Amino acid sequence: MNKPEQLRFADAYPELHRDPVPVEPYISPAYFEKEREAIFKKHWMNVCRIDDVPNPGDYVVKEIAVLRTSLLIVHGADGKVRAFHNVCQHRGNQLVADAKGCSKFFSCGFHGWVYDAEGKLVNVPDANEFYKLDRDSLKLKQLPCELWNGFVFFHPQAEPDQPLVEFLGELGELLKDYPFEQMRRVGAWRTKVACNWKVFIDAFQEGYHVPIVHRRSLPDVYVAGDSSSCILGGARLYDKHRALSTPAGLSRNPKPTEALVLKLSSALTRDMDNADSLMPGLNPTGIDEWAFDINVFYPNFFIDPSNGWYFSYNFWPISVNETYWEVNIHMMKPANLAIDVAQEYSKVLFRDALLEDSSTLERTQLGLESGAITHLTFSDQEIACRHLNHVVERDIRNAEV
Amino acid sequence: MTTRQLPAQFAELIPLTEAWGQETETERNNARVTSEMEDVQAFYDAVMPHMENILAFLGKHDDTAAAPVRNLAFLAKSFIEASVCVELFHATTVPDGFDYRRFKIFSPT
Repeated sequence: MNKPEQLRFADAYPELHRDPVPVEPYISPAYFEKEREAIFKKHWMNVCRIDDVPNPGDYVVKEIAVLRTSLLIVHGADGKVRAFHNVCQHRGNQLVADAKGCSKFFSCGFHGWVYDAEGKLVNVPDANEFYKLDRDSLKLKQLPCELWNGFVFFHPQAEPDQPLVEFLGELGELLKDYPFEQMRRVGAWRTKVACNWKVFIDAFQEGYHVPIVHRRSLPDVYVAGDSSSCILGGARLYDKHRALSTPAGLSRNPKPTEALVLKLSSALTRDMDNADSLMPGLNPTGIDEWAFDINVFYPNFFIDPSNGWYFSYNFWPISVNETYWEVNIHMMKPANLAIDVAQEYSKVLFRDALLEDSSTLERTQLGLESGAITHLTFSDQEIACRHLNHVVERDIRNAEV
Repeated sequence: MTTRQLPAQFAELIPLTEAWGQETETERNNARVTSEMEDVQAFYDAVMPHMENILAFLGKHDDTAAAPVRNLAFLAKSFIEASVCVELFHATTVPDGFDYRRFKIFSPT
């Protein structure tokens, strides 16, 4: 494969300026309110995977703080997955209290109104006491909900500006044949962090931090050639989404346990297969020593795939300086228990590396809120952070017009 | 706590199952982060010489295997937790890391 020419990423994206970026959007409550309206109320967002609601009747409840709502995602008897506001149409009580379960009907804990899995109001106790009960207008409030490669997306508006596939665009097209369905979830972690959602996302869309933050967990893993830096390859900035590829140090000596597991399975640290058997959608720019891709779907969803595993992040803003984080890692279904154990190595190492990443977030937010710096000085390697700021600012500006 | 059964050829590792070899990541990780480093190191040292044989054995079984075989896989997964402590962190928790108690594990196994 050809090594890409050593150009600056920014050369290909003249619409992005190269000046320092204001801190204000990371710390201003007023700016966060604008983001809520212009961004989070206006885009398709991934809420779970079909594996979370695999069978008819299965449901999950997701609190979406930035929308000030609770969503009820239900796999209907007709096989369709729907998203409802988890709110009883009678007096507004939250309908389902459990985080997940399986049921044909949902009964409100206040006065006992009952809805089916399609959101239809099917029973009202003492119905004849109401003056006029229009059951059709008292269905659960439904939101647009679509599946893409097993990922369940919803749209906060009744009439989305564009269909999901169109919104996912070229990046969705690139990943459409990746074998998501052949993988199983092996790890899932959740936490709430006192930082702005963009501080959070920025920490995962550059490799510049890797030799410092991951000096213990991943020393020399994501560096290529003779470099001691994690120099990303193939930055691709789409209209709102963006993608990067991470280099791999293929010539280094693995640690003892890593060496054992690499005989059995692709690992977080290295792909056991060679590059001619890559799964569809990987390493699209063909960098030579490649580890995995970072695919960022605006506004808040990552799919980072490699040859045999992928991890995903969902970043859910709560307030200007609080964010809820969902992390999942999926791997190929193992043919035997030895591969299952080998995969555990990648899972454990990944989890612990995330603890390293997360250590910077609250300290960064505090630093920004101190007012000691007014602008962020991004390098070419941090162009994805610059792009996120650019898209956010443009969405807010467009919403104000 | 009690020990768990293991396949006959790994019988000498049975005493280790009292402290190591829980069925879920939550439990295995909890055992790791609440142990002293010297105990994690001792567990690693006891299992490492067997790991190649353990993986060769587990390679002939899947998750429908009998309990002693699955117990061996759980023990091997605890070894994985120990391995990063010994080989990478030189500590039972991630040095300078985010508070692991705030990082909630929802993994299926």
